[in-house]
Amino acid sequence: MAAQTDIKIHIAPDGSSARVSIPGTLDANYVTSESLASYAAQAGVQLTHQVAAQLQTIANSFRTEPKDIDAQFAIAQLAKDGADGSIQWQPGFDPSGPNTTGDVEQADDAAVDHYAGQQFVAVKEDDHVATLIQPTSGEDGANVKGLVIKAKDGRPCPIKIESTFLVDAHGRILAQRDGALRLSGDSLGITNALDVPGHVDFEIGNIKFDGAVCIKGGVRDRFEVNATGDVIVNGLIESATIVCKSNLTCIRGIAARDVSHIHVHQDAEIGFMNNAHAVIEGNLSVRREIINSDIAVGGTFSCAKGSVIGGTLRLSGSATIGELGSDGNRITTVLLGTAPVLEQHLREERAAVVQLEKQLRKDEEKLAQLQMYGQRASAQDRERMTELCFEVAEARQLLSDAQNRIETIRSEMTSSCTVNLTILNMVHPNVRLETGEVIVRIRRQVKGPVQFGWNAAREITFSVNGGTARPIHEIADVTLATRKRIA
Amino acid sequence: MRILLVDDSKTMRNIQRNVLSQLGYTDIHEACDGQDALSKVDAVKPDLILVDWNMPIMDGISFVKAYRGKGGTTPMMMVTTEAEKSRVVEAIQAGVNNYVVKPFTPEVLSQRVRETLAKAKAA
Repeated sequence: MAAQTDIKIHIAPDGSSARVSIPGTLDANYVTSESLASYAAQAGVQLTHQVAAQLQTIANSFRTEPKDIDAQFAIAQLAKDGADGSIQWQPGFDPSGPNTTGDVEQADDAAVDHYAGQQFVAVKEDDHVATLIQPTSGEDGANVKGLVIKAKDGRPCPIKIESTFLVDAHGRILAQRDGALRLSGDSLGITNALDVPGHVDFEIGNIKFDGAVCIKGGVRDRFEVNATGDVIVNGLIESATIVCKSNLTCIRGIAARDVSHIHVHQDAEIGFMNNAHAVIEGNLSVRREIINSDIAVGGTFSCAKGSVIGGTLRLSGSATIGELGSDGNRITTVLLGTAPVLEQHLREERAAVVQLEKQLRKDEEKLAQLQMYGQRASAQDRERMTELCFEVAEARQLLSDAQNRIETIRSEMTSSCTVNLTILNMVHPNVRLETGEVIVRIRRQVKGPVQFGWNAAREITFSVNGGTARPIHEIADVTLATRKRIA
Repeated sequence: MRILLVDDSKTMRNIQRNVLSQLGYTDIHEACDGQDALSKVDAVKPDLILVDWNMPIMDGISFVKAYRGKGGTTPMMMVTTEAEKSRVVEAIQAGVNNYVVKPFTPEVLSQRVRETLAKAKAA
């Protein structure tokens, strides 16, 4: 064996590698894989197969051509840390992604509809929105002395999944109800109230949401908000479209350069309305003026501190207005005793009945055809026949329901329409009050409070300051609606 | 009352769900084949199982045998296009309590469900 000073083993302080140095003057007979292994073992290096192979190569090299050698023969096996748990989003559901849902649509003429983009993620029940990736374990390593280098295990995903999502055995994150995906802080859930922090504009896009929507700003020209819950707009509604299946609150008001289209299935409370085309199926309360607007109200109407100037009001219930018409004698029309909302419902129900009858006929014909096979019907035919039996039964039920609703609407139209209009401050000339039978055109200014109503003969009357009801022709020209139509 | 529907056709499961809803049963669970049903049945603990015969992965009759084999006692109805007498006998022998042949109407299915539950209650 060579003198100890001849062959030297150097181990890196952190144990990550080991080197051997051999002076070229050393007798080659002393340099064998066994002698090198002995030196390495004495220095504390773990003799693995790889280390032994390396030492063999170095010894062979020296014996073939003796020269100074300084070579690495052992290297540590590094620890592999585990990967942290994470969430892998499905396409279209990443809340940080651009135009998450309601992708920006490209029209036929290749023009991009930027209004259609939405910056929130709408989810439906059972949607697979993401996959929860579990953390992985680390793999320990070893240094050249064989000491273990400890690996770190991956940490669990830092995002907590709320109970509005279900994580199945495959890690799929499935929505448990409809709503908007909410990733706030370290929590992922579904909310049924959508908060829009600013305006509904190009940054936010149109909103179509199954739930309530609260808009901190306004709704810009040509944008649309469609919600099944309440809609609250803190700013102005411009020439936009609002479809709200519940209540609408817009304290500031509607100021449309063109026309805004509003359809509210329940009640609405609005600051002012300018160039609005609105159908409010429930009650409508307007705090200030209504200008050049076409409004149908299914319930009661109140604009007690404001004015109604120009446009058309279609009322089926009682109404209280501060001032009707203007000093400039602007034509302002109020249709009384109508049922605009019910009429609309009636039209929709009739259309639905036509559609259902058509579908029913089609299904019954298909069913009759399949029934002709009798016992020869295949399994597929039998499945289809079962489906058709149910479709027919369902269509018959829907048809019956629709016909009942039509009867109910007709009955409501007869009973609910009233003429009960109170003007608190002033009625101006050129105000037109129309019923199905007559058209009344106010000739002169009448100071309020003035109340318009129907007498037993369904003739329009008026009373001033709570006095007795007087014939309307004292303050207005009256023509028969039929005569006007003939003319 | 919990009911487990086992059918590979979502349409058929919806049809059965509608009929059962009209009968007042709303706690309804679904499985898309026999294997899926076997994996769910212990957790759901149904009071009634409606099972189709022809399904991928594990068919209805295999499910019935496997479920009865492990001691399951919940009443089961086979709802299927298999109309031959031998099939009906096979199903009954495997442990099915009632048998509905497709096509069926909502009234027929309602009637059979009521019958099956009444018999199970009386037993």
